[in-house]
Amino acid sequence: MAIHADKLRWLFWLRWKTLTRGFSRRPASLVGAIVLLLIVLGVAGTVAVVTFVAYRNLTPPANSEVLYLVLTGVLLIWIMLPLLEFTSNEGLDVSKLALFPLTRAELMASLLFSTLLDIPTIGLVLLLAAVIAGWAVSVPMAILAFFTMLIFYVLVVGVSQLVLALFMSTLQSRRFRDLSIIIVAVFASSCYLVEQFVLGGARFLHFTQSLQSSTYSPYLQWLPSGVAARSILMAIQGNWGASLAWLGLLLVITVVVLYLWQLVLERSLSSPEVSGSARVRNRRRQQAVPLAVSPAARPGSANAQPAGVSIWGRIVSPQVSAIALKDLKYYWRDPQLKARMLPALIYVIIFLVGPLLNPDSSRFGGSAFTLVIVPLLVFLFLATLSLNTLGLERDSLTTLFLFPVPPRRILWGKNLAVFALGIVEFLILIAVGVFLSHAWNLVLPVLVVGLAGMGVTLGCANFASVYFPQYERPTGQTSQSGCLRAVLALVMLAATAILLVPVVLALALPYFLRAEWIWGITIPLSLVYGIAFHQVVTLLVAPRILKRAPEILAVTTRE
Amino acid sequence: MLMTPEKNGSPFTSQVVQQPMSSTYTSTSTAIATHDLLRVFGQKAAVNHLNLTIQRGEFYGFLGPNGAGKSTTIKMLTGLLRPTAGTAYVAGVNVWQDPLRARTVMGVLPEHLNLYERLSGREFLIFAGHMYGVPEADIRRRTEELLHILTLTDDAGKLIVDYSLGMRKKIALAAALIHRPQVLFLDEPFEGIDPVSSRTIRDILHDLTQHGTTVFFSSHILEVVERLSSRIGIINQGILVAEGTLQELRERASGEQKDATLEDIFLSVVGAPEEVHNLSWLEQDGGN
Repeated sequence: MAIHADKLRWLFWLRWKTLTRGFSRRPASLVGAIVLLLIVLGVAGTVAVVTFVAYRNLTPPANSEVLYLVLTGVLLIWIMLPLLEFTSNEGLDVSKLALFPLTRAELMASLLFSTLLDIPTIGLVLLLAAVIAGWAVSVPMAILAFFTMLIFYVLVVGVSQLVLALFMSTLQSRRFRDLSIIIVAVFASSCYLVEQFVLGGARFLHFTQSLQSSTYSPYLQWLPSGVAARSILMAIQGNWGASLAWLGLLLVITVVVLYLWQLVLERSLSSPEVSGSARVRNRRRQQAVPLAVSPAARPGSANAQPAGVSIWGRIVSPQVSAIALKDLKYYWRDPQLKARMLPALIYVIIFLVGPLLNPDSSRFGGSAFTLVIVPLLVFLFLATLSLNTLGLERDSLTTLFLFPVPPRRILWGKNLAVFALGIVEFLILIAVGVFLSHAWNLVLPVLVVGLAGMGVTLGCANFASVYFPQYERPTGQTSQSGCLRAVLALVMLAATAILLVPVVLALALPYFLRAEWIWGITIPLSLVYGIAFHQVVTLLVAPRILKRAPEILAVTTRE
Repeated sequence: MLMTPEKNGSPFTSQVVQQPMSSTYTSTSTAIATHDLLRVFGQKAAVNHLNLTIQRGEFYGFLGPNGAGKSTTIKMLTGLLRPTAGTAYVAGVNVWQDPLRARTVMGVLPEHLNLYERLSGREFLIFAGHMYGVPEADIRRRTEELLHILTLTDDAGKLIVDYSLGMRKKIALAAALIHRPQVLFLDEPFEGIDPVSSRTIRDILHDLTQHGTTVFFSSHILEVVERLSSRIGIINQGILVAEGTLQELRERASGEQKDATLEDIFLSVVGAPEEVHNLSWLEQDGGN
């Protein structure tokens, strides 16, 4: 278990280099890191200050309960963090380091030190520093709290790395990565629901009462975080013997965790490499493969027209159908696209469950507002999926551009898929809206505004997609041009709203003037307007795809 | 034996590259033709005034060291990278004036396989068939036959994201073949492919050229190039420094090396250093 300081220094150098090179190669990631740093400093700093005040000012046992909760929360978050944000950092990738004659102790020490360069560690250090400061009522207490938190830090990082090593193969699997993208998206976009379910006023009152009556510590004291808390609390009560005993137990637990981590690490390094993708199958049948090319691939083979073509096939080109079908499959199978749809779906859930959560709210129940807002939700959904329709293809756009498909068909196919999803959402929301508002007389105008608006939205999105294509990261993270996209989305929604004014007037005026018979003229005209707008814009912008294909690829792909 | 673009009279180039006339490009017998194809990145010319003429049914091996300009050339020929100057014709179609028609006559296996990874292998082939405008019935039949011949039938229902590199190459090749292209561009087709699949692909490609399809492929595996190619072009630092059949290249090689292998010719043409580097410390006893 020898540790050479020189090797540790070089391993730390490696971690530092991979970190800084990452910023120099992708300057945009530096902006992301700074934003993350500010968020971590803001959130962890606030929590640290609040908990410090709580340790000092709350009356026992409430302050002890806070300590239990904070340390347990830290432990749980650090167990979850690598699972949620697992990315193979070269500096922490032990499988690469396995090539070199490094002892396990050196590997583990390097990993421990490397975590000091992680931004979330700053948050951890702030929280632990608040614990030290909060309980350092005397010099011996300060020393004890410091060593307790130092051991607890090693324990937290050790447990985190143990979990990472245990689930390494699972974490590297495609299915888990897919799932984690969706989990993060759900987590990020469900603030409203979290607020409604978790942070309700009555629940917060219940929480403070629980602190006073020591509700949490009987359970949490048996966790490693509870052991650390006990060590401090025993000392603060003057029972130094028990305090040191708990500290000793914490040390033993930490050593056990480090030992287990070492065992798992060794096993994972010596086990056969799992490619994480296809299993290699031994197929003897390959010997029976005919060596001559099939007639299908031969030039000059029959190219007969299929016997029967469906009505759908006559209306929509097979290329448009194929692209739409491919996109629909992608919306179902691709976690990044699914994650992109989730915020819009969360709005729908809010729309559906909002009245149940807030039965007294004036926004819901009996108001026509519920129905009128439906088209807006659908436009937002459509804009989310179609604003960067070429960029959303990511690197596969290269393949799409190799096919001899007229560009207007590419846009039509992609619009068709989004429209299919949008129309389903639209119809469901209208049904719910009518059920809640009972505004049956508004169904037709809302339906027409929605359909015409979908045409306008998709037309605007096609324009933005062709003239302002953006790169989409393949991992489900936000694109590098988040600001530009937000501006584009706002401009597009504003443009859609302005372009829909004639439609809204054509439908609203007869309603308010009690001359609904005019709808017989304005409804077909509104629908024609929406379709015509979409078609004209699409036909105008499509040729640019062909003319500027290499430039669009240069922006949207990373070859 | 290095050659600049002006030195078309170098012993390493055949006469065919010296006919940059528009009739050559649109001739029915010419599959690929470029005239002064140039691509500049910053200060560096990745492809420097390249003139190529490749006939129908040829199996053209395109060689060069790393960074020589092979992939850049293929990207410009397939419409993925705009040339700084020059023209490119594929099957008589100007790639940059009529890109859609050019794409109908070519099949491409690019260096980076940007496949639709969330489609299964079978779904991807059917999708590609529709994109190339192949009739539905032919798509189904050709898909199954290509899957079978490339031994992908058992994995046809799996998503491409779960494929190995070799399987990805094979499915990408199948997609490039499904519309019976007149010209096939293959960028490193044998990299990462197991010997059995490699043999299958070689046989398919050979059969294709027998039926008039032109294959333009780049590879680092010189044995494969030597065995398959009817003509070979060697590019170095963006310049076509040698071209001809293997026999022609041998004959133009120095007199003492009439039985030179392609590797010998290649190393000679690209100017590989001849001195032997000895790492004396490797020969010392003991570790470290």
